[in-house]
Amino acid sequence: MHEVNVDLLIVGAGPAGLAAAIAAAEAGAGEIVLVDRLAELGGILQQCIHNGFGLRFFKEELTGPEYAQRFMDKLADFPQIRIKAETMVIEIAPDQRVTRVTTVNARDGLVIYNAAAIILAMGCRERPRGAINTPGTRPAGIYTAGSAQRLMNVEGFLPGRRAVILGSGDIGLIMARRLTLEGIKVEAVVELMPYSSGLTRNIVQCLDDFGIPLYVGHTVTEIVGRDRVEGVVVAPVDSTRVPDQKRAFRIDCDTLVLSVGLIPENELSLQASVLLDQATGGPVVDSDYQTSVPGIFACGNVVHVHDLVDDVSEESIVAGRSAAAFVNSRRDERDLCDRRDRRDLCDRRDASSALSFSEHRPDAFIETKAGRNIRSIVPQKLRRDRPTVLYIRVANPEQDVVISAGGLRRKLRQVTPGETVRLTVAPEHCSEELQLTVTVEKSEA
Amino acid sequence: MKHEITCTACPMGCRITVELEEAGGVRGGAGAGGESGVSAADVSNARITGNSCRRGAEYAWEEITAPKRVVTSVVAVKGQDRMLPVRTAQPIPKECIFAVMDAIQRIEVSLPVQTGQILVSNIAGTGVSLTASKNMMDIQGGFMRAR
Repeated sequence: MHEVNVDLLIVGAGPAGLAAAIAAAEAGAGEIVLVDRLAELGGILQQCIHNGFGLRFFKEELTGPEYAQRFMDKLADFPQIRIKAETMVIEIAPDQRVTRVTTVNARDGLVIYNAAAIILAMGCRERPRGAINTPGTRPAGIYTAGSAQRLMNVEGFLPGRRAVILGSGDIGLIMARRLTLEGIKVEAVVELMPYSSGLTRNIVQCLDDFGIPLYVGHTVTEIVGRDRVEGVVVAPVDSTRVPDQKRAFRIDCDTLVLSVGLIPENELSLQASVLLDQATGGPVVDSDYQTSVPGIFACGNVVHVHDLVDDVSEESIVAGRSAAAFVNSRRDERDLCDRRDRRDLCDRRDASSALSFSEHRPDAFIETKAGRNIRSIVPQKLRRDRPTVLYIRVANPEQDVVISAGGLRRKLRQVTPGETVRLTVAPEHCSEELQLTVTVEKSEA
Repeated sequence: MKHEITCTACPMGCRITVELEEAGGVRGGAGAGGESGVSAADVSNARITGNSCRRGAEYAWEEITAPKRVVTSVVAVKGQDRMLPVRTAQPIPKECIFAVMDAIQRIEVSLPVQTGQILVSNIAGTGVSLTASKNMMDIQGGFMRAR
């Protein structure tokens, strides 16, 4: 085991980690270590072979691997970014002035990095069958959508011949098309809610194009089959989502694909005592994407589950730049202290990015607050001195509304939980108050 | 002829109705230019309702006259246990999707491959080429990018 001092360590080399690493290097963060548990960079993008990525960020329509490749090509311009592939982070512990990150891999064994700052970019995880408590037997042929996707798109295996998909979020819809293209009959897509949370485009191009039926307001109430899935029982649900067994029907299939939600992956964050938001499942972050723990930043799906990778790249660039600013201000401080040998200077830190919101006076930040029909808002703590892009998720679909955040109001024809609303709040929209409430109201007109 | 289409030009998802009279017939109303042998006269004579904007009308017209899709899939790689993601470089006619898939399933490529490299020009007679979606190198440990 040995210890290494670095300026910045990034956990995860998916879209968030890649964009953050490049932005931090460009901002002069010094020596950067980018850690990923897989051999290949790019994270989940490598198995998302469909197109539709990058429309906003690159102004063209790319596939997932192409989107990742753009960032990987750019990474090659920065020799100060050291890549540690096939490496697991097993512990994160904030220490006095550094964060201690314990890693392990087959080549180097156990290595501890003492990083001036770290960025959490671990992404999210799929909810499995156990999370939704579907009754029935435990045969082969039940997959989460992501594992079915990996089997087909990376490893080249077909997961079955006749499939039912539970959940009509974008991943479920994309998988319906993918299975169909490879000759697997998709009998139905079943959705608990009375609406699909997927993009309209995906409903048209993944279901309508192939005549795949979508059962909204239905759920799978039983899985049938001993060794292999033989069928599922589907039943309509009432407004409280209780299934009506009298109207249940069986669909024969050998495969059940679950696309029933994603959860930010925050085991390491919790270990590091990072404060989490109940609504997003990810760390509470400020406008700089710094968490409650000084020197620990977070970006991407570990913060909140995104609809578009373009949004991940955008916020990860902010996180990367902020982490670089943090590293540089700490370095200046240290240089000053060393030179003058005046320890007291170290304690007289101003309101620079070298402080987390948890260390500031409470009035230094504005807290975002979810009002009517709002499920979550990121970031949760806004700086008063600069504009911040808010990512807002509504609780229920609604038409002809006005979304407001402080003095900022915008009319929208439609909001749905499946599509994040992006709103840039500037200092002039905020009053002197400590809270900024975001609400959706019915439009008067 | 009456066609119902869900617009995907933006997240609104308008339900658009396009009415055409028999034999490319004539009706008043707004329309926009399309492709595939439909004359400008046909376009101006389509009756498009339910759209909220001009883009919707354009989308609806293309969807009923010449719907197109980008096809993405994976192909086998000689000597590797990983698949190579591929795409059609441009959208292809919707009715050719399964012909293109058939052609894709027959392909096996050799490494190295660069993103954007043409693997098949004119796939399944569509006039569109099939390209690689990622860089893959023939090194130990598959396509990993070590440094």
